[in-house]
Amino acid sequence: MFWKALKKSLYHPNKVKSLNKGHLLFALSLPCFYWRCKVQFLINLHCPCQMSEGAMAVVKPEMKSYIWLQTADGSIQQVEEEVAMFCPMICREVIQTGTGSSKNYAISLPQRVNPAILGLILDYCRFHQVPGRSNKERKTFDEKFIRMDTKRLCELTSAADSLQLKPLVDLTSRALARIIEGKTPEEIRETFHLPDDLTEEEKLEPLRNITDDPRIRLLNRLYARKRKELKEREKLKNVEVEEERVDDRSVDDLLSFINGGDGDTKGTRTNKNKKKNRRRKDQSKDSCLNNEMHDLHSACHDGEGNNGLLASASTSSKLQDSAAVTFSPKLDFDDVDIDDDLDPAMKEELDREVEDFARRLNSVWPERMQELFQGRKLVPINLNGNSSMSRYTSTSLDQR
Amino acid sequence: MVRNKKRDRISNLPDHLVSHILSFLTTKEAVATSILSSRWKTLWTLVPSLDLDEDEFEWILSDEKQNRKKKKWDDWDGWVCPSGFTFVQIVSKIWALRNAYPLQKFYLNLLYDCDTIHVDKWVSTAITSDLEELTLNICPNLPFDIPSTLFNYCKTLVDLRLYGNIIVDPPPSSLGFPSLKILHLLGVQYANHDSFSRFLTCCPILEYLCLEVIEMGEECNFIITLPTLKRLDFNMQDFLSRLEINAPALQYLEFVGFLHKVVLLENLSNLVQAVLFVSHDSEENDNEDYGNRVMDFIRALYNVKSLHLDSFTTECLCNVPEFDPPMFHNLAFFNFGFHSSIPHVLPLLLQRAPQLAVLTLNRDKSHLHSTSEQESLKWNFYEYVPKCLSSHLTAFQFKGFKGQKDELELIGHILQMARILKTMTLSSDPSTEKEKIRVLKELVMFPRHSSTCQITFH
Repeated sequence: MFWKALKKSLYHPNKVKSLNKGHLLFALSLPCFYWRCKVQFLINLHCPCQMSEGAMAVVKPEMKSYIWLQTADGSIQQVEEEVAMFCPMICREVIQTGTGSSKNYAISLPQRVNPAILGLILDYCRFHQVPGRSNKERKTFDEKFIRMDTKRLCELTSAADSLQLKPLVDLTSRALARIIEGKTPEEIRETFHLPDDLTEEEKLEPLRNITDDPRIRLLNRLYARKRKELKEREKLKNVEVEEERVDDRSVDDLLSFINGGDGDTKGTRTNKNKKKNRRRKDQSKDSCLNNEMHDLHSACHDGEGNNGLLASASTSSKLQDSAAVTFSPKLDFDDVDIDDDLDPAMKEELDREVEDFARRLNSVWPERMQELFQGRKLVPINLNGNSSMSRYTSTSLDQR
Repeated sequence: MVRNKKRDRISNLPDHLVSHILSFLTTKEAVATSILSSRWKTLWTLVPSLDLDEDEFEWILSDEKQNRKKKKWDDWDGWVCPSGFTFVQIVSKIWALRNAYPLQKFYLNLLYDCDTIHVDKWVSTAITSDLEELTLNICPNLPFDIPSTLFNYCKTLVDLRLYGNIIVDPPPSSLGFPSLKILHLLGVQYANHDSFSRFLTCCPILEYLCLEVIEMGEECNFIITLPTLKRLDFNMQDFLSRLEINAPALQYLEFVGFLHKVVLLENLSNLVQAVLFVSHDSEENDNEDYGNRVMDFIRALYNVKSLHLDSFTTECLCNVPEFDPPMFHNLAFFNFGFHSSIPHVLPLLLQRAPQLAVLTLNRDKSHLHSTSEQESLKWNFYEYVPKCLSSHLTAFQFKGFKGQKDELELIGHILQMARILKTMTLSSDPSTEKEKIRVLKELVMFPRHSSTCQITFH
């Protein structure tokens, strides 16, 4: 009964006798914005003593009511109420501030909404706010609706987002995703007119540079051999290990002499793969130490990854630094695992070898070292990076 | 001020919008956008989902493997991308670059080169308080232990799917999954006898459960007592396991597999649809016994609205000595499979389904048995016209129609008796034109009770 009366009154405001104040107040507590605004309007219409200041100005008992909207460029348009109320942002403005009921009190829309786009959005709202449509109808409409050029699609996404019209945001986002999907980067850049402002190195940086530096390769080989020896010695005795940060320091070493320099672009793939495969063969033979080996293996990988990341640090972009900073904790995390398995004595050995190597390389490029000192806050050349690294270790553990 | 005609519009969108757009792409494509321009370099890291699928990449054997004299093509490791990186390297790098931004969805599909250490690292990193969907489809070299943090820190998890050589061991103090609605456990192993039931007690609002039980080597009981469960898909590939289902809210039930051990079904009064694909171990000689078990199973489904029985199931039913199905009071849709000729149990089933509206006969062409063509069915239709035929049947569909004698007889009977039949669709095997014409002629000759009946033939 109540609902029928309410509906009736909304569409025939003059015949509102079946509703009383109690009903209207109840309706105000409805969760739906749309109905609440409607009821507010009714109250304003028929109970003048309850009207708010702003709305008092222009209430006309018309069949159709309009909302006034003003875009950033100053132009004002009037829109049917149901259509405009479909946008959560407009709805909220009407309820909370009471604007929109007249030309003088038009709702000012966010900057991202220009008149042409507003027209499109209102078309969308006009279709979808009608309750009786089937899902198929809505889908067909949507598919036709988004057929427009990408520039307009982007504007529409932006505008819909500022009006908080989520269904339209999803629709346009999906359409844009479909445009991006399956295209090569050049094609995407052309479609959206994106500037091609990354250097070749930056483009290849994520993965390619891992293998470009011959010094890294040499070091990795050294590591691999060392680790293999350690494993073999491990087999014979049972060792307890304490937490050690030797491997941290060795990472520091890597950081210190990877200057992102003129990487050797020789094809290194075969070497690397051979090395990997050899390691894997060893692993498969040695089943009882499987876990351990995998730990080391993964750390090696991560080590290589780290090298690669910093290798191209010739452009000292913020990204490089931040990525480096966040990457180290993960590496440390692995290292903590590994350290648990290695004998301290062997770690000393390893450490010494690495120091040797570092010294050898450092002596070759003193000038480069100078450059590094200026640019970086993270990398000390000497092997006393413990303090900084330990900080990262603890944060990473905390994250866990 | 010179106006550049071609302006980059999409980069004007705020970060959250671009990452929303990228969330509709696969992770591989999203990461690929990082080389578009400087602004796009890190946008992909804001996407709160990761799907790592090895099938999306092209794999070739690494050079060394290719040079080996003996080429084992079913090699499980040594696969690399054409650029030389393994899946593990790529994934590790993605994780590293992503800067631990909150993750809502994590899918991992890794069958080759699957290392438990790496998977453990990735899964442990993915388990955060924001995680909503987790899918692992892996085939690791060693059985993979699910990290126990999964059972304690995933309050927001809604969808969990585990496929593969995974060991599930919920700790006794597990805080559970208060939001979990969908759970798939396919081929997983359970650490203890009570691991499975403990897992279920952790899921108070579970709605969809999909279980595949593989050979465990010992007798296991699967007791499913879930008051909120709406859908259950069960695949029993083990001869020794028992199953008990008590789910008052269950609406959809699918059972595939062996019924060697008794399956107990209780309290299925709300069941709307049931699908049965029973397998039969053809070496078993206790056909009658097995048939009885299938019959018992079906008896518990008496309240169902839609029933689908495949050809093996109906074959088992044919072995039941005294076939006495229950009354299916609500049955409106019936999909009946068979292999060579229409089983004799069909008419009786039709009699027990007074409200049947849609009947579908499905010839299973994959069936290997070749029984001789049966003689025409001895149906006493003239004595007992199934009530459904005369008052409710509106659609009849026959897939795999061959034009055999018994089939034509059945169709003839139906056409004669179905008063409100609207459509009859016959889809046939590719047969010769001659055959088709002969069959069509016969069909046309049948008297039809229903005046609005339309026969479609393809």
